[in-house]
Amino acid sequence: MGLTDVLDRSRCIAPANHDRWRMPPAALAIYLAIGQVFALSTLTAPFTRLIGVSSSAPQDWSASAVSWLFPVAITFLGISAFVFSRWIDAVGPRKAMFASASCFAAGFLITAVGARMHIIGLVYFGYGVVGGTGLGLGYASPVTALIRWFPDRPAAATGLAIAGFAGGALVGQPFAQMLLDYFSSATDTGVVSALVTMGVSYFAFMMFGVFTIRLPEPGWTPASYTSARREAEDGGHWAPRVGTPAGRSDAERRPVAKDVHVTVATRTRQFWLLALIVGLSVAAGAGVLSQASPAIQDLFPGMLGAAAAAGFIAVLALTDTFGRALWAAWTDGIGRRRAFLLYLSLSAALLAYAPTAAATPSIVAYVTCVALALAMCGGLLAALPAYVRDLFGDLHVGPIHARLLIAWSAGAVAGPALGTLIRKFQLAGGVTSADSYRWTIYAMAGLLVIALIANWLLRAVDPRHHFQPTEPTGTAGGGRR
Amino acid sequence: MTQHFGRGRDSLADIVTDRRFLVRLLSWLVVLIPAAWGAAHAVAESLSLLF
Repeated sequence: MGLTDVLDRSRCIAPANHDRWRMPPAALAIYLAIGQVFALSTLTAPFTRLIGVSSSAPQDWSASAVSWLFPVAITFLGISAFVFSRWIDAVGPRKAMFASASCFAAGFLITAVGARMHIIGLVYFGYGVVGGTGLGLGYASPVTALIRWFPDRPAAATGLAIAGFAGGALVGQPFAQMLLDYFSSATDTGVVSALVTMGVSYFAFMMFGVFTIRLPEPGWTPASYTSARREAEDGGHWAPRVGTPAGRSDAERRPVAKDVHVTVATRTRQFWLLALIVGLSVAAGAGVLSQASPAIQDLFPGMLGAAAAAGFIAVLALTDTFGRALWAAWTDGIGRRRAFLLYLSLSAALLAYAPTAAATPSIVAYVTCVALALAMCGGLLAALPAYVRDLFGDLHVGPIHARLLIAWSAGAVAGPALGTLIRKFQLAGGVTSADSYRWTIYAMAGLLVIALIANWLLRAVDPRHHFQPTEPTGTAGGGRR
Repeated sequence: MTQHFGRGRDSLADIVTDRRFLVRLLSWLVVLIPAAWGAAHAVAESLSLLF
């Protein structure tokens, strides 16, 4: 039996009595690995002294040249998730996660070669393009499996797994630092060896997820999830799927009423409103986070140093990780639309109040406001697959969510850029440094208010976009599956 | 695991020899150990905000 057979979608289908609680760890293995991208700065800091080693030499790459690596990787996250959205769904989570691990690991190895040969283009191609493609494939792959294994608590399942994406920074930063400390010497920064070790280690770790992930049989539901409850929750969306033999690929199963085909979904108002919510929430969170360290030092002059600012970033990373899991899980109880309205309004209010808290000056109030706001933004993203399922059904929940990730990556790149632009504009106008950060935070709160309006405008998808039972299975909603 | 704890009358030996429970436990440990290690580092770093 070859590797292709093992990775095949048909071999992913689990028997009815399979333990579904093994799926969140499988997904976590992927998200914890790819979340390393948020700790990239630890790994790339030595790039500016590859030749000088102890300090930058004139021939070394500049910090600004290296700083573009993160946006390039994030851009390719969105592009690859969008481009491969249908492929991920067609080949199943195991093969897609294997492709993600291969690209992510290859990205490290190519970057190591680029650093060794001192070719910055190879570094950008390695971590940015190849590694970024691995990020996109990895982020999008486990979603369908999680939603289908946990129809009774979809956001809790995806929240638990996607919390790992933020948690990946918590693991990636000390892991990279440990390797750099181990491999560095008087004549070597140690970054090449560290990159190779990380590539191999992350690949092995992701393989655990690859070989643990399974899809349920078509039509499977947990015993506690009765048809009466399904009817009560969404008016028949979870009607049993008939006509699909157990154990067969669910590519062959029939869509049901309320399922929306991915090509149809991307033409609906709901898709674009969701994209707006995702893009603006990510932009606001990333915009605040990118300036969090210098901002807290300027807002509390003489009270906090660089070490305390690093502690603030650690607090934000921790609350973001746990917030994703908790806030997302809560949406299963109160409903997605209501939860998003609550989180967006609260996070906008907290961010808007943060500069006032800083002026008090209360460090505790400021840290609490920013940490809670960012954790709620993270919770929105972690609950997004469940929101997609609510609106478009679970037939193409994976591909539709994957296509929304392009808005995620646009927000992650645009947010920090917008923050920098606002700050520069303010400084040029004679505003003090501390005040310039205040205006940046107000602007990010404004983005969340726009996202709040977009969520308020969200309504159920028009029934004319739903799968029509008279259509052939393979052409649900007017497009090929 | 649910059955064991639900019935509330199985011995510890029954629980630790339940293959389904052990596989689930090991699956979670594989991801939670590195996550806890990373979280511990972050907690230690965040203390610098207080002291």
